Amino acid sequence: MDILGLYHYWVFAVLLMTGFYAIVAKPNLIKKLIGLSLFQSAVFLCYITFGKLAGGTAPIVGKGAELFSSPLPQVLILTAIVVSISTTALGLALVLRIKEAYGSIEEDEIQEQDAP
Amino acid sequence: MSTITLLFSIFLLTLLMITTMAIVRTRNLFVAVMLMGIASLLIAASFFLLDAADVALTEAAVGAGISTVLFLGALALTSERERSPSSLPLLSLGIVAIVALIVIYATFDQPPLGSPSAPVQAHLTPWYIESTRELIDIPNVVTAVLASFRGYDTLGEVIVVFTAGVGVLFLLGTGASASAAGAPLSEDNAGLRHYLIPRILGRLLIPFILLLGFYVQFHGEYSPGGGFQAGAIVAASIILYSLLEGEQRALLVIPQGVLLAMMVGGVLLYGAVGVAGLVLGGNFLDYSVLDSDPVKGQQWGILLIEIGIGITVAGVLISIFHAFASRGAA
Amino acid sequence: MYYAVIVATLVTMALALLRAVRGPTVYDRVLAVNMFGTKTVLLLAALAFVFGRPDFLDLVLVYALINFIGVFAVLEFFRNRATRAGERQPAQHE
Repeated sequence: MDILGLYHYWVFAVLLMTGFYAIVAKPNLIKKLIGLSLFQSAVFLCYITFGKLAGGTAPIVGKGAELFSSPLPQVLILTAIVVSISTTALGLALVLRIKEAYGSIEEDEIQEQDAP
Repeated sequence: MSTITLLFSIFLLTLLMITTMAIVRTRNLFVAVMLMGIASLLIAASFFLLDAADVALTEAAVGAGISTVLFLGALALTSERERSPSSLPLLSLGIVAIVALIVIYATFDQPPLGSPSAPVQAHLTPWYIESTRELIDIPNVVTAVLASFRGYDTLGEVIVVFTAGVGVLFLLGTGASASAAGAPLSEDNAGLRHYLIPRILGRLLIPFILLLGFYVQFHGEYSPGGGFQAGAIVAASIILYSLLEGEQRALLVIPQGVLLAMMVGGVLLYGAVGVAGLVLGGNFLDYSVLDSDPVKGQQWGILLIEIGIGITVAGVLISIFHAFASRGAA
Repeated sequence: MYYAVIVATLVTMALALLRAVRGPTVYDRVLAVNMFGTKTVLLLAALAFVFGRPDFLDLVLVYALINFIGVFAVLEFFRNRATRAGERQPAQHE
């Protein structure tokens, strides 16, 4: 059963590297932003998995609930999700301006136009 | 975690892995954005299984809704097809595979999932849960930690959201020049008004979505919710109105000036509550001095700053959407 | 009994995902995403009862509404693209 519990962390590793591969290996700028978003989601999954307590429930005090999963990772990830959408929005705005200035959003075509 | 819920969680995470690999492999960016919506819903369901109800709500409101709309808005103005790279990047694949294996090797040192002796459960967690009961007395511990114990962090984060809004407005403009105030409403930006079923359904649902947004805002101390989620839901309802009726009408309903005032006003409200703590004799962002009873003071403080957060997040998200939508019309 | 509901919903989600990944036309994928959202609502509602916290049904409402907005954004994207393609055509004829 312990091995089954580790599955969450393995998914975190795979998701992390999938997102990272999209950032590094794909020349399209929007694909890179999508990869960044996947990378961030993997990190969120990892933190929330850390906070889980066996036999616990969501940290909202209600009737009959005794053990609570840790609220601290949840607070950190709550702010991180909102920050991630903000940076994605700003990144997309930059991509729009790059498209208007260079006429393309493929990384190598943009670098060709910049090189003397 | 009981074995059956663990198996459900494993199934959902497997679907998530399949979805992300499909996202990275597909050449059509529109397909990638659709699959990102599915991935966001899967992640939100996984969060719910891991007892993170507040985070699941935020991921749903922000990831599946707002993020899809923003990416589609950007795709409408750039191309939809991705050019395939000239050669298979073997070096990148190799490095990525090696790092993934190293991380998997490192996970064998983790404590078992949900173990009570894990470091995170030992020090701060019992203190937060106890102190929330004593000092703040609201049921939702996550809101208490976010708004009161870690209020300074949250102030920084609201400023980050504000900065992103300002940055997007600097880059893309407010779109006020394209659709001048006196110009007649053109039929081009008419949105989905000519289609009967979306129009009727949308008009039925928009008031309820707004109501849900306000409910989530004010009920954030008793159930999952709070300022961020409420801001995203209210923004989603205004974006729905803009998709249905066209962007010019949406700017008539909530003008750009009001949106700017919302963006700034929320941050100022948060700062003002902090300074009020200073003026009344406590520290910055110390809510217990806001009222004669410290517990009531904490609850007042949390209520006010959550309203500030909700206003700023709604204003920023709606402004960003309008900046994207009006760029194409120019 | 809740477990039977959850298993059935998970199977449907897997099928919807298969259609979203494979679907040759765009509308296949849009319908698949919409269906996936609906099944997520069902899954979370059943899980809320399994965990013994029926007060989490509030947050399940949000999913249903957000799913709706996502589909509308896709529809508007297509309408916009069709309009701009129609505008560009007359310019090409001249």
